[in-house]
Amino acid sequence: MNDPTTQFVRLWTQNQNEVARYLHSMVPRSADAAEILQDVSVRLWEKWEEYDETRPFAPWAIRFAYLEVLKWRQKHAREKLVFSEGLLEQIHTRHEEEAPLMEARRKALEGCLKKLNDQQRKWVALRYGTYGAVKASAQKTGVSMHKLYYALEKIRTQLLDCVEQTLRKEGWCDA
Amino acid sequence: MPDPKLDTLLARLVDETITETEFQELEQLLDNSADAQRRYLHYMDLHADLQNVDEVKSIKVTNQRQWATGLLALATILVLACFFLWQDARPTPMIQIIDADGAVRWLGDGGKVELAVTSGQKLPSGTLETRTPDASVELAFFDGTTLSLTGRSALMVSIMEERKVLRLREGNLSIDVVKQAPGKPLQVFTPSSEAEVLGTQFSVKANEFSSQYTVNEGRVRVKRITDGQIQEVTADQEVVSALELGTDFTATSRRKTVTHWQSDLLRDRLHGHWEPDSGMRAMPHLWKGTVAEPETPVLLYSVVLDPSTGKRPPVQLTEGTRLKVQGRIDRPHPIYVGFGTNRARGGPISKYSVRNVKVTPGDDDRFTLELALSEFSPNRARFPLSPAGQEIDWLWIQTVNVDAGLVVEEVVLSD
Repeated sequence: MNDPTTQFVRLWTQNQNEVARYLHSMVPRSADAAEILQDVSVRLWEKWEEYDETRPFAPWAIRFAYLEVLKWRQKHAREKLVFSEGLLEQIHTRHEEEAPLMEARRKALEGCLKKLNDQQRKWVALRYGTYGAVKASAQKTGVSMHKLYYALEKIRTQLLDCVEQTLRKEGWCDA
Repeated sequence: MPDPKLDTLLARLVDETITETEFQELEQLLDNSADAQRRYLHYMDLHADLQNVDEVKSIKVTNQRQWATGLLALATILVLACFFLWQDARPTPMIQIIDADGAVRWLGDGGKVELAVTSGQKLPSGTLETRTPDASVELAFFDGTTLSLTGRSALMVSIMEERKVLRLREGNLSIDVVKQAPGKPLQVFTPSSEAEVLGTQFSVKANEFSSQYTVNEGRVRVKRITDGQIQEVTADQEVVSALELGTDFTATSRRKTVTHWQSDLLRDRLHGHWEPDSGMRAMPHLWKGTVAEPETPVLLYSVVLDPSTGKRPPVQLTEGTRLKVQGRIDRPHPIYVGFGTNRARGGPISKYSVRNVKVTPGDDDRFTLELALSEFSPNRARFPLSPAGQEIDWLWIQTVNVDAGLVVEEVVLSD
């Protein structure tokens, strides 16, 4: 288990989702985030000797992820759907502030999902249960895309409100 | 209460139906709004959660996810393999950029120009330029020797006959040299001096007339160019090598740090226009972006000061340090205040700032701003959370992209 490669793979596997979430928040297009995630894994492996195992892996990995996002941004600066570097820096800082609360938010979401009615659960399943094949699923079930997206917008807002309320009830004062 | 418009734009973002105009609108809503940024992060996290929670997954295909994960793992392995093969095939560069902040450019030997130097970039020999008073760059040789270049600086970096050679035309350079091979010292050249080191931590401030060396660890051998005199400068000592022969060229103990500093604007100025009857007027400089760069230019109107210029002692920050700025501004407008530091007795630089401080002038356009040290946040996640204990290198007061007629009359650091 002390083999560096094994240790890296273990920690990366444990934390990959966390880094992927972070990347999705910095680079909203999922294909771009997935591309950067691969670069991050390479970069982390390259820097693995410098990792201090007494410190948590995720913040260390996210620091490199941030650098990779900036590099990616430089390459794609001419594209229209790319946040400015200044805004990326602000979001990165905000992410550091919010990270400690994210786990509590995820737990609260589980309860909030149970509060959705059957129709809402159907919309959510249609959008998220098929891992992106929204259009095909919608056509198959005869639902217009416009109607689906509108319903999802409402559901997400409802879920976020529910999460906020749950966190307040649980005593997270700044939720 | 969340902004419904923001939620609509976020929905379009995650559903990937957002238009360019809407995206710009979203950026405007997010920029400098902590609440909007929080909402954005919560929204994105919710979106990610919905893709992963078992309750949703169980309704539809689960094998696709496993298949996708397997593909991703395979792709990662392939990328790793390609990376190592590619790295073996190309020539080894000489240095790597650790961090670049602000207007930094690289002029490679042979005329190649990198207008936007980025973190992680590996570069061959050439000249690094930090082009504005608040720009900085950190870089490393592959033996672990690290350099920090700040302010308006120009440094030519090369390796000749296995010796690292640094030519500091002007500016501020801090160097942490790992042990060099016997007979192969790292060499530093400035317009007024030459220095050799085998392993030490020191900094150099140079202009066309003089160079000031401050040694934190080890020993630096400094030669004054005009008469060939040599001084051995050891830990906690400093020396000034000037072109004028009448000046003192003796290594002396490093000046003791102080915790109180009051500006003398004309002497401390790194950037700004001195108006004798009023103070230091913020002047424009480009933070990022040039005509040839794929970057939206950011123009800053800044006053930049060096509290320990000339023979003034270094200013050390404490937990109780407060920064007071007095000045004038044409109208209520947010200003940015920040400073660059080095760790006590030298070491890597860090930057801290407070952004968007709302300043409302009185009837005479005057304002007074007081900030506690705890209000400053590190500009990078890797910097220490608090600057307490560090020495301040330079500080800036500025407006972003808008000339609001900012004039600084006095700055005081006190504890």
